[in-house]
Amino acid sequence: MASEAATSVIEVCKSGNAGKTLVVGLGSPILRDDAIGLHIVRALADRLPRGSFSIMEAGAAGLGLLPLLEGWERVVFVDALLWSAELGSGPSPGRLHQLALDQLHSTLTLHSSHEPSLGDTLAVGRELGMALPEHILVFGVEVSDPFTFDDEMTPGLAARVESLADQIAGQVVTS
Amino acid sequence: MNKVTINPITRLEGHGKIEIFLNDDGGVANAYFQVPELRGFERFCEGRPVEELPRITPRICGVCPDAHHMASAKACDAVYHVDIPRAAKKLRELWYNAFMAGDHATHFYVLGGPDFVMGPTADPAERNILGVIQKVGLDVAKRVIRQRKEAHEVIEMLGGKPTHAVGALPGGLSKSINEEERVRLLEIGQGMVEFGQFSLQLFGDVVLKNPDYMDLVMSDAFTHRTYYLGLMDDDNRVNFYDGHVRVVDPDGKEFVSFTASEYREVIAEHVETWSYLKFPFLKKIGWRGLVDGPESGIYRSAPLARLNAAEGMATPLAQEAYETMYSTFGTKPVHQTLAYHWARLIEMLYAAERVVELAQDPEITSPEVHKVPTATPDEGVGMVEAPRGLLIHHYKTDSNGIVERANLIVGTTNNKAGICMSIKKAAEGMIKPGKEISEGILNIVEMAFRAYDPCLACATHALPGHMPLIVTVRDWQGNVLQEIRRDG
Repeated sequence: MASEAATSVIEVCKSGNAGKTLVVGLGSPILRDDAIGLHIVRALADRLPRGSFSIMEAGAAGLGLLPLLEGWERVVFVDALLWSAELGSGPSPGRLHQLALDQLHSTLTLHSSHEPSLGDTLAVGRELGMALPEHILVFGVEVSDPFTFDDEMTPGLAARVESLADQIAGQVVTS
Repeated sequence: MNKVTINPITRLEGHGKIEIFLNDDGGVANAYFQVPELRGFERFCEGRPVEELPRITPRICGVCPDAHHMASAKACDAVYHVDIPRAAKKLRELWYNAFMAGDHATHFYVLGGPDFVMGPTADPAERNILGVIQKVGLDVAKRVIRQRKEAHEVIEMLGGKPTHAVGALPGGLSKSINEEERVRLLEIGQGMVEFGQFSLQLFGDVVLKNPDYMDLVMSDAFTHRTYYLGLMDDDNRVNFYDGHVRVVDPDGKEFVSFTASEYREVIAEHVETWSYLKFPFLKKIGWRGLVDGPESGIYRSAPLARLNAAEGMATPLAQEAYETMYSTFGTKPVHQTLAYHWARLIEMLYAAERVVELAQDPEITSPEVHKVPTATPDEGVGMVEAPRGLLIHHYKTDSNGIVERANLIVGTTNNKAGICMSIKKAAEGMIKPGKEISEGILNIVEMAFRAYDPCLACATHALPGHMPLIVTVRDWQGNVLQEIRRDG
């Protein structure tokens, strides 16, 4: 089943990550569209140069992310996102947003009910003297249904995975 | 009727909001806490081999995957009628207690604690973990992070992975541990005990010695006389992993006691048209609406409820702290909702002491940690105490172990009625006829539901905690009279 593949986290080495980018896909593999971040990072594996990028899938948020973030030059998150008025225009499932750290209320994993926000998490880590990435990019993909148990995404969204991966790869390789 | 809506601003319309209905005089008529329910769990499970469920159900959310994993594995044991080896039982309990200690630490220091450490009226921008660090020092933050990290280390050692563990399976565990690992478990447990003691000391210094906070804790606005339940060992002492559920009435007298397979005889679920989420209540008493007292079947669950339902704690330091709490209040049960925070810290210390006890048991290095199930599978119920309340997994399979039906009652759901009542009462204290509704309502309402540590991840992903709030006051025609808002 899908969750099996999703558990295969690529092992990352804490040392020797300076100058490298970690790409983290967030979400649950069994909540329909919530899995979009996981599917996109799998598709990114073929699109990013191996030496300077590592890819991982995670269901964690908040303080649970801190140990993952340590040592990297840059971290890129890909998460599902629910449309809200501040995103402008109407809802459009499959649309890609690049979010600022203070704009994460609507992402599904990064904004958890049981964790501090990503911004606070990073601030805590820095207070503690951890070597945290200078650059954090957050990509949110609008989804329509992250509330139904299903290991398949809605077809329209599933069809967008490859092009979304292309878009994100384009931005993270050049930026 | 006027309507006040407190809404995490980014939710979809109709999802996860607090609504306060006013009567014609401008007083509070009722308060509702709405959350979306995840749909189709039963259908998703149908047709799958039941032994897959302990690996699937933790994926419901990233907050308490271990609770789902354990409840699911226990339900599978029951489906296969297998009594797991003693070493496996002990290792599962050790793992589970390490998880509880980590989770409770997060709640106190990150979510619930800031209200007290920084003060309920502090600027929301400071009322968070960063504020706590400023006030009590960096070492505490380091210790909170260490607690989580070491809880994950235990889970990885016993469950194969730090989150979404896979180690428990029908009949026991997939691997045993060696002596070196046992020693490490003991070391982790001892560190957790120290931190548990420190946290209770901090709570004592910051809250108990502050008369203003104690007035708030004791105030009627945060008090409900309800039934309480919790999972107990044979001596009616709190146990997170196994035992029977004991229910006490609002006077603390035992009302009923039941085992996993009997839960349906005791708990029924009430449906309201305005909420996706059902309200569990005591069948024998009946549903009387969102009211407390002995005539209402509403019960509460999670830390304070567990301590109220118990006759004591099974470990010495936690027992001492338990006695201190009840002698401070001078009554048992304690009905003051804000005492959930205190009870949570007592449980955190208990969990740590239990890790140490189990890590000292020579039997846990036994290689006998799995018994191959041989009986024909049919039906089974698994229960554990999740950090946020009693968690029940109930599966029915065909004779090949293929799931035909699945039902879950998740932790926070047990407290849904209590949360609604608490919000109403807090709102009543803040909203008076003819008086403008002030921003203070945000803090007080937040405190009312935060005491329960509501995690709606089982029901939704992203509800209150660190929440942006918006309160809209409308007249009966829906025109906005007043808006109070706080983003993030």
